[in-house]
Amino acid sequence: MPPEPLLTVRGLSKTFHRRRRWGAQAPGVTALDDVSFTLNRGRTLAIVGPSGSGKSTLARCLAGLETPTSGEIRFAGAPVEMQLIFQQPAASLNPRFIAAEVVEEPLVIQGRGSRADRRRKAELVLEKVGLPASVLDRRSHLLSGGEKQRLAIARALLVEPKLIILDESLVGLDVSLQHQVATLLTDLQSRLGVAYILISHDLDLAAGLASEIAVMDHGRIVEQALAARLKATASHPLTRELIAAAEVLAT
Amino acid sequence: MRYLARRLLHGAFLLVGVSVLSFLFSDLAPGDFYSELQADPRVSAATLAALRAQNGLDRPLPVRYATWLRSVGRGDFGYSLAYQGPVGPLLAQRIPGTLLLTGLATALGWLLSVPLGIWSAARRRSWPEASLKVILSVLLSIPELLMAIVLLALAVQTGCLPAGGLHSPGHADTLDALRHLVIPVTTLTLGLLPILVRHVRSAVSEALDAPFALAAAAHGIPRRRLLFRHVLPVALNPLISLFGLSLGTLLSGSLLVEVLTGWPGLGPLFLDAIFARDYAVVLGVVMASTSFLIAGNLAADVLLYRADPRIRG
Amino acid sequence: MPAVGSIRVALALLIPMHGAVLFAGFFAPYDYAEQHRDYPYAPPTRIHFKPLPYVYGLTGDYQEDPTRVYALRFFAGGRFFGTDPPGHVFLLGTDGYGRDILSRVLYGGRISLATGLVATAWALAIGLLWGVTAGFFGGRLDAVMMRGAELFLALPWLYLLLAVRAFLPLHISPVQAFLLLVAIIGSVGWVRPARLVRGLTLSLVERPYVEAARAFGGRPLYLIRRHILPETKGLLLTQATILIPYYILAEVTLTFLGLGVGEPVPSWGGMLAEARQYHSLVAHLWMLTPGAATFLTLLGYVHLAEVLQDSRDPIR
Repeated sequence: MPPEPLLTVRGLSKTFHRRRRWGAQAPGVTALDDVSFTLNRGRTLAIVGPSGSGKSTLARCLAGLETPTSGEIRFAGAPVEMQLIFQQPAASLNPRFIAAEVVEEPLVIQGRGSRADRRRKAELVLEKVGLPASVLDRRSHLLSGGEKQRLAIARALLVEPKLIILDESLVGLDVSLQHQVATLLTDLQSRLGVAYILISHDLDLAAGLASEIAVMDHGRIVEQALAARLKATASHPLTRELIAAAEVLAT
Repeated sequence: MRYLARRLLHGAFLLVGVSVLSFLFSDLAPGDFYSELQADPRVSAATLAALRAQNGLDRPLPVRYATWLRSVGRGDFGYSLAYQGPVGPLLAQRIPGTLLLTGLATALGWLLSVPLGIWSAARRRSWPEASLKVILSVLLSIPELLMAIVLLALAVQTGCLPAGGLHSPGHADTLDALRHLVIPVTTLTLGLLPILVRHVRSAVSEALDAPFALAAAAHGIPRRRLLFRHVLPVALNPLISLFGLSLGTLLSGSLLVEVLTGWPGLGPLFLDAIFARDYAVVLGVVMASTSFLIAGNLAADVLLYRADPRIRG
Repeated sequence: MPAVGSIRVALALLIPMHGAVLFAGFFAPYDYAEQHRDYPYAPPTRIHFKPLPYVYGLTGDYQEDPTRVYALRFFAGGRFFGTDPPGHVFLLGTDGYGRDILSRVLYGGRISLATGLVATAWALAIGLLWGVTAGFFGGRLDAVMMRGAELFLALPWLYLLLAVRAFLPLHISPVQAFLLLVAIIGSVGWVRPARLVRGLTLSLVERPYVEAARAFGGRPLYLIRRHILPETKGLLLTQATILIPYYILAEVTLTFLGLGVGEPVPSWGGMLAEARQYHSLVAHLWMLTPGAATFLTLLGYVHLAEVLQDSRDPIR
């Protein structure tokens, strides 16, 4: 019997309504339309699509920041074991905090352990993402982009998540940094068995990291295949556009 | 049009809300109009109870509110126990006084501050402008209370102006009334000036620095034309809003000045009613002042609507 | 004017004023209730230097009597300055009961300044609570709270102040009056800080780091305490400098009108009410000094507010 999938999403839909004072409800914007997929432990699923395709909404629904209008999300773990890494590393860290406060925040919220305990755990997790412990005492807004992103990942790792959703998290990093972070992610996956959902508009990047790719357009999943076989089996026009675009950039 | 209808509705909501809150508050108040009588040993408890019942003071809150609403509909606005008559005529008697003061102060204030503000914006960072800033700061720090007293002291010392009231005994003509107006209006205007000049200056300043103004200047449009035909209309927008905002300050100032100089407006009526616990009059004045504020803001909204095409579109 | 210089001017006005008032017991030559029935409405005593300061005794019609000389003493009897009886030094004259005006201005300042400061703290506390709650929880709660707050803006502030005062007991002890005044005055003017705090909260709530904390299981109280409140400090400070002078003036006005803290506690408003009488305006202008004290205090705060405002968004 194969193990239960880590994440099962069935028929997920989300419509946003504009708030009106009086009068009939304004017609809503459908961000997600009957999205379904599964993800197994330790695997990486990439969700690719143009802006406005609903990728971020999907990420937020999964992370519990938005309530879906209908559908089901089944996660084989505690809510906190699913972590979300935002697009802009700078925005996801409170600029007034020092790095230690940023990383330790999940533990502070859960109220676990003493100060010394938390510090120790923070240092351990920093090691995993390749940051020196000295970073802990620096103000978060003074760190470089790459350091910030790694700090965000370290913070997510602190709670030992089973799934990390990366919402366009590699955008805005320069290529060498992208490579660094990508290597880190792969490394963590092999060592800790973390599953990833990688959200991106960049097909190449997705293909490099993911085992499976789903293409989204206007809130629906229009194509889904194993990464290695996507090029060969691409049938939806959008997929073909994305592939073509990626090839142009590659050459 | 829908915009204005919404503003009217909003105003109505405010009026209702204020009246309800006032009624609730008056219920919390310890004592009423007859509390003073209570201390008098000659007045028996039975008499007091009868008096209260006669004037409906013992009825429950919603009933009293409904009665008051009906009275508003008739134009009575409640019944004053101190004056033994409807509140409406009392208000009608005093409102013109307040309106006259605030109207004159507004007119004078704007008449003086617009040129001053424009001049100040056009001559930034020069020492005459800096000294104006200091004078205005000082003026802002002089409370109207003090200003009125100082002016009254001056009047009394020099004897050239009357020290209060509407008419001196023996005179009932317009000239006399005008002389009595000088101190109250001057006080209010001087209190208004610093606020207005500052805002006119910053509105014109911002408009002068805006890209469209810089472009126009680069095109060689002469300074005066630039100022009046291009910059002022843009600066008008925040100034119209300011009119609505400063109205509250003006009305409050007027209250104080009326009391200080004995000018027959809503102020003295209000104060007397408070000391007498004549809550009907208190409520009436509260509603009147709220209405003025709402009307003033509505007028500002209408002007804004006509002046700023962005709101219409 | 460079900002640093301006702050010094403002503080040069405010610190001595607050200091003198705070230590009124030391700086005032007399107690505030001490009456000198033989010297009602005495004009300010002139000080002569020989080179040491001294004053003359006064005759019945307040002329100086050179035969009676009294040296000024410093640090005598726990007071900064004074003179030996039967001499008197009324630097700012006396009132109808022969009470030293300077002493009463110093002691009286306590009520006015204390009311201003405490009422500001009260109003900012309400504004902070209201604004953060409305901004954080948003939606219906926000709409209801802000609509409710608007009712407090529907009246001109003095009308609101007096109306609230009207519905509360008229004859109360000074302590009760003080607390009541603080509550009433604070109820006028908490709305603007509340709005500003709400705006700030609304923008902060959407920041990713707040959402991240929420995703970790952060409860509203934690999020507010850790991520939102620290950002409000600057805002509250500027609002404080704007509200304090407003509230000092409100107390002075209320007491002047007879609705504030009453006798025997002195206050600037009460003293101005005495000065307002016709015969005082004619002949006893020194009674207006509480007005000067109010003016100087307001000037200091207005200046401070301007400096803080300029430093936050510099006017071109």
